[in-house]
Amino acid sequence: MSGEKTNGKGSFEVKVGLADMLRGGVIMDVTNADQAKIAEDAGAAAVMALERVPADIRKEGGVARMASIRVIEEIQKAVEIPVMAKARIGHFVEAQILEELGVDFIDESEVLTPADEANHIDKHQFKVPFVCGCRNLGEALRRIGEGAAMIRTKGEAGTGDVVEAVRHMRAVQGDIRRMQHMDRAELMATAKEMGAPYEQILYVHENGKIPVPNFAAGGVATPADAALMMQLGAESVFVGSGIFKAGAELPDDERIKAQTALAKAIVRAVTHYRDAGELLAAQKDQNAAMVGISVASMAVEEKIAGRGW
Amino acid sequence: MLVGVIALQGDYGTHAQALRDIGVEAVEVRKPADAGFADPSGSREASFKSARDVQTALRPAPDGLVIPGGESSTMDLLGRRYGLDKLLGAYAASGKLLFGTCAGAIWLGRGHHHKVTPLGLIDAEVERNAYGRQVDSFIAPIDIDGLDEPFEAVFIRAPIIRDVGPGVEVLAEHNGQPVLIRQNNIWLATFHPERVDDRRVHQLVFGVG
Repeated sequence: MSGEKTNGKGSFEVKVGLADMLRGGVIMDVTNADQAKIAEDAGAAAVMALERVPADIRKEGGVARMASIRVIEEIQKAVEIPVMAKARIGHFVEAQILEELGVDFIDESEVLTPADEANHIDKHQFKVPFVCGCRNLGEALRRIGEGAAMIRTKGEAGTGDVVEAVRHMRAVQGDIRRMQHMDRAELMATAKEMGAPYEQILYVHENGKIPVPNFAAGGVATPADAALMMQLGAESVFVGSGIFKAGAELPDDERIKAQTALAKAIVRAVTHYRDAGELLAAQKDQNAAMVGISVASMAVEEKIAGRGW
Repeated sequence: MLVGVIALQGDYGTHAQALRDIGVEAVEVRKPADAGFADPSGSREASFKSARDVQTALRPAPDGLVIPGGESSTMDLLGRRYGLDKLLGAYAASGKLLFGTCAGAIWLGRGHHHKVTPLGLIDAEVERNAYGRQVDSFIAPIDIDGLDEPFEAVFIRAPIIRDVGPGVEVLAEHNGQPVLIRQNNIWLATFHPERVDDRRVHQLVFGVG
């Protein structure tokens, strides 16, 4: 057996294995230790350490970069569940720094301002696993070809509107179904048309799924939204601004109480995503929501899902 | 044979597939009712308040349960929240088969952890994340008692079994540490047998094939 086989540290199989351990879980955006603890106690399977949640990045504008190291370290110290952090698209040095810091996953994210408009990070060069966003199957397979160990829909982050996440998940699942029923001879033309690696197309044709976990993100704001994404085929759900932007109008203690209950309710809805009785109970526990922006009312240049390709 | 896979979070789908591959029927268990236990205390004796309760009680109780790998603190928290700790206790006491892998092994074993309260259903001390950070996950061949050829074991943020009681049988070791153990009806693996195409560990544990 080769050294690679007997060790496999940082190998693609191990990275996908790490991503698989998050299946059926909820990954929550947090900006400080208190929020991280609320997320962990609610039953989150991981947290995403951020300086600003997407709703604030959207509102405040400017260049959005990797979070400050101090913020990520504070969150790493606060919880035992895995901690993820975002790097800009194509910014491989931010990724090198995050790997050195010991984050458990890196999200090469369109929520931050892209650093390279042509190329994404060569994720095979890293031991730490990456998650990347997609709007359709071709985009998902390009990211997997670059070494992503987990895929999520892009959705439209920071809006509280789930419509784009639904669009992207339906696009991915629809393309997977179509590809399964193709004649093998049609696969190369499909690879050309989708701009996706042939080996990845072949995998989907033969297995009826992508080779890494397929999660949902972008605009999930309620227990019902989270269960909707699960029933559409997501294997786990990222909740960004949905929890800690909820109840912004409430006084501090009431807001924290409402956010804690909401975080727990979203976890319940994801675990029991096909159980209507449990979903009703989860939805009952939501007493505050983020206000949100309807994606249909937004100008094209305001949308961030178009970042990356 | 019908086996329930605890499906709170983690690698439950792959375990269910491994079971089906060896001809065992698999059902996902998210609350005691999914395993035919109408009452969350883990009892099959329940008062029938609705048609749903009757339906639940009529569901067949699995012959065994798999507790998969995942985030051990999340599984412990959610398991207690939904009453699965009591279900596992009832299974252990009734002599039905329990198979905990990775985080599942931490939950079934003994130990003292900040965020996880092990159930102590098997006499083995299991230490969480003992190999270090997640980039230290690895794959290694191991020799297993009862299997002729080595098995390729995938260790993902794996725990280490530090100490086993006299009634515990050690079936495989890696670097001198037990990685597959058994005490009567309860089996623990610190690695992930479901992550390779080789189904021999599932066959061994469930006595089929």
